[in-house]
Amino acid sequence: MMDGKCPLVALLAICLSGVAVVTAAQERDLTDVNAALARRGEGLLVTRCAVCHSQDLVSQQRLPRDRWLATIDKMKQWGAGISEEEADLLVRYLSARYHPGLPDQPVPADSERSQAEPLKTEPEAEGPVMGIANRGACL
Amino acid sequence: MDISRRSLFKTLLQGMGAGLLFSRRLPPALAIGEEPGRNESGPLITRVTRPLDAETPVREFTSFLTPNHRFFVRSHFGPPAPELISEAGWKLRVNGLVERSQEFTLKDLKQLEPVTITAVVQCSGNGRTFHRPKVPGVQWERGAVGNAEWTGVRLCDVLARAAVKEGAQHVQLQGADRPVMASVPLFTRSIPLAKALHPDTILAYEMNGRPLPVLHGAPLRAILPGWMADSCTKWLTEITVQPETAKGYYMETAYRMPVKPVEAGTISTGPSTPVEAMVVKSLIAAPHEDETVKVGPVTVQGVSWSGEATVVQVEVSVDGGKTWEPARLLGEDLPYAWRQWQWLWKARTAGPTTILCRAIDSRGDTQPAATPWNPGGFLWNGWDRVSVTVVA
Ligand code: HEC
Repeated sequence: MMDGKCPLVALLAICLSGVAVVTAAQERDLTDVNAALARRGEGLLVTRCAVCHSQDLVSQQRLPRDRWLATIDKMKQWGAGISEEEADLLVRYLSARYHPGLPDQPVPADSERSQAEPLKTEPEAEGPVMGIANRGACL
Repeated sequence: MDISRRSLFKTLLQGMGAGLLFSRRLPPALAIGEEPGRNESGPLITRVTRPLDAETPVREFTSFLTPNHRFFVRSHFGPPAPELISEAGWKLRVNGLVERSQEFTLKDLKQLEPVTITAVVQCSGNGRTFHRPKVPGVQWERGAVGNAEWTGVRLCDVLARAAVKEGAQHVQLQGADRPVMASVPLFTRSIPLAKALHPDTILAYEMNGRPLPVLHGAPLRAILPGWMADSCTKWLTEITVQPETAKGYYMETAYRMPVKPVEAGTISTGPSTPVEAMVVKSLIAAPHEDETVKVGPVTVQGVSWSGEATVVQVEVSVDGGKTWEPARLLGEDLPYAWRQWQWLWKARTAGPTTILCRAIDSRGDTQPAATPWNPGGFLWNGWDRVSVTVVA
């Protein structure tokens, strides 16, 4: 979770420990970041979704918004205890974070404890989101 | 060669050219060569921690049999409560359209004639991560497959005891695994009667000569040689003979393929059919991804299989699929097992190279460059590819 820090600082901290370089394009992305959404999203993943399965099943998906919507809907039907508002928030969070443009990468086994990553608030389209291709390398 | 099972598996653990030890009974596997770090990554790659979904590192496929502790694990809900699968508590019920509904203990089953079959078991979603656009589900790469020796009894022998009635068409398989919440649909599957009565369809209680491990369905798992693993129910407790296919999410919605090709990325509403037989496929087990090889001879090796046909050729390309060279098929051709293959590559030019392979089966089916997209991301069998760096 973001522990209340400025997302830019958090991202830099993560990146400094790796090899990725924050490009100008990425910096521009960061102005879109909504840390509050990430905090609530991550919170819901733990309290509402991890009841039945670990979060790595969620974080390994790379889906456009409509598929996230359908997935959350299915989970709700199957018994996930989330309100309309929470479902809506999760769809926004997951489609901003785990979108088709994010590179595939092996999901580390301890991803349940991994930090929330800064977000774009709204993905424009269903296609790959440009300009943030290196973001995954930070994790 | 007289090696006890125990020491044999110990050797497998140590990863020492294990396949060679099987040569008395099985087609030979190849020596693995220098592979430092083979044990560093652990026996399996975890995709989902809970319930456990984990795949085998493809480099393990240099051995003919996939050892139990390295065999991929797919769980819908994970192992059942221990008392449901303990020798004392477990029973197999056979009912539905039969003359004599009955229960079998494991001891009862072991009175029937035992059979052993070497067969590939593969998750329907193996390779899902390669479909574009992305499909929701466990993002398997290449290793949700393995080849093992399964020992058990024929399902037809069990059904004969119960005497299948007129009108029976399908056989429903139910395991003891249960979801965390009762609102989640059970993993209930059915198979057509003809496949159930096929003499090679078995209920296995041993895997590679050892009692079936809990993660692989102990005490009893259905094995349908040639078919995808979604029909190979683990922790089997109930067989119901029925006039129709089973109802429910895992038959009516999941594990289905569109009958006609669908446009990539669309949610199809057209007719679909359950995933059944495996499609022709091959994998490169060595060298492995990102390996550095020296200019000169490089042994490329792997495995190949096809569900209800025989692999007749495996081809390798090092020029992006422009030209293909035939690989040598090794060992015997066993009907449901995979076939190992080998190709000697004379690596001439330093730099990055992609090695591709594809298999062709006795029906003439050839592994395509990429598998047509389908909404469940099933049956991926695109050319396998491994990127290596050649150094002088
Ligand atoms: C009541 C149990 C339950 C809850 C709660 C739950 N899920 Fe699931 N989820 C499942 C089951 C069952 C599957 C399918 C597992 C399988 O077949 O391997 C699944 C699968 C998934 C998948 C994989 C794609 C798919 O369709 O199979 C995603 C993504 C997912 N869940 C996300 C979530 C999210 C996000 C939440 C929280 C809102 C959530 N789940 C809550 C039971 C649940």
